Amino acid sequence: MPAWEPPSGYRIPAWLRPPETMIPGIVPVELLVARTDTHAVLVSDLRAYPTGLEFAVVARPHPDQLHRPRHDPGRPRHPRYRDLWMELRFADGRTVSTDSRRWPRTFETTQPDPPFLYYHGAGGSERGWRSPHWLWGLPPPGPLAFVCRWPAGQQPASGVEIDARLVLEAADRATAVWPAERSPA
Amino acid sequence: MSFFEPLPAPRPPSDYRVSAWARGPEGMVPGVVPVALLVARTSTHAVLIDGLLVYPTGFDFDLVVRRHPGQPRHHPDPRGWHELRLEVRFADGRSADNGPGRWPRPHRDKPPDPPWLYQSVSGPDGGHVWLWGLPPPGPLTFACRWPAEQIPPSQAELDAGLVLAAAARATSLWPDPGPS
Repeated sequence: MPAWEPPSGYRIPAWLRPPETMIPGIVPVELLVARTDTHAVLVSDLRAYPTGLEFAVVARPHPDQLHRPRHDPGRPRHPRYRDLWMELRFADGRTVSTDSRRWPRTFETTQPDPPFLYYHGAGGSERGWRSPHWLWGLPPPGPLAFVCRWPAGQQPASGVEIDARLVLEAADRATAVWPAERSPA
Repeated sequence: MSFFEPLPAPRPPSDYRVSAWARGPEGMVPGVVPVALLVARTSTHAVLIDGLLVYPTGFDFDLVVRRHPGQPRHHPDPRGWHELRLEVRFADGRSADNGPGRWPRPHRDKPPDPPWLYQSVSGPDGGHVWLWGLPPPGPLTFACRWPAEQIPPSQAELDAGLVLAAAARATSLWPDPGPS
């Protein structure tokens, strides 16, 4: 058997991921974007860099939902978390979304103009679901809204607004892991 | 049992739940510690602690590995990333670590004495960690060592007051409605 060789050196393009050689600035908020009697959607783990903002969209059921057997006909139908879309609205009127129909067709090979919102898949179960997101490009000063939508109309759109200054100040706190680096990689 | 005898009544599937002390409370929004901590750094690798999310019962955080550009992500020995050892030390001397064989044996409903550390995710880029129990005031130390990547014993400190303040900010996702 030939010796094991590591995978090829493919790297996700810089505009689709946080810089790998930087320590992020932590945005000091957890955002409740949507809540019903049975489920909640949060924006969590916000980490800012000079090139953009990383965050996770987290969906959770009410703990009582986890006690109800799956076959219970009275158990409310839960929204399909994987159908959830996230939209960010900036103070200058621009919006970005994880609706892939709005993405430029060449986004994987050609750097798009910021802002661009990308997500790196998702995982979980009916006990909870998590999807890492990356915003390429920082928001302008002013209100920054996080809005979640279910395209199938399972739940109404819901959102929360923060001051983008929290993100911009956190981005200023980001530092290089190896200070001799001249630009984030 | 013959083919003609009635089958026993179906039993609903068991509803296994992770013990409350092995995870953050499911119905709470955590408080955020606005700090990312550099614990170790060599010319090729760095180990960070970030994503500290705090609840009244403990805190989650990410153990993050960063590689200098050009360093391979996959170690020739696939067990290499298992050797990244992490220890969290409280100001009063108590500590917990991600060493092997630390899963407590007592009954599932009996929590271990805090602090107790559980790394739920582990891989070449680090992992996700839950620490059961809140630290007392004073220095909170994160220490690591990673022989497979030539990272010597290294540590960094955080003021536990930041963690305790974040715990105070944690809120319930579904607050009790109170008496009507």
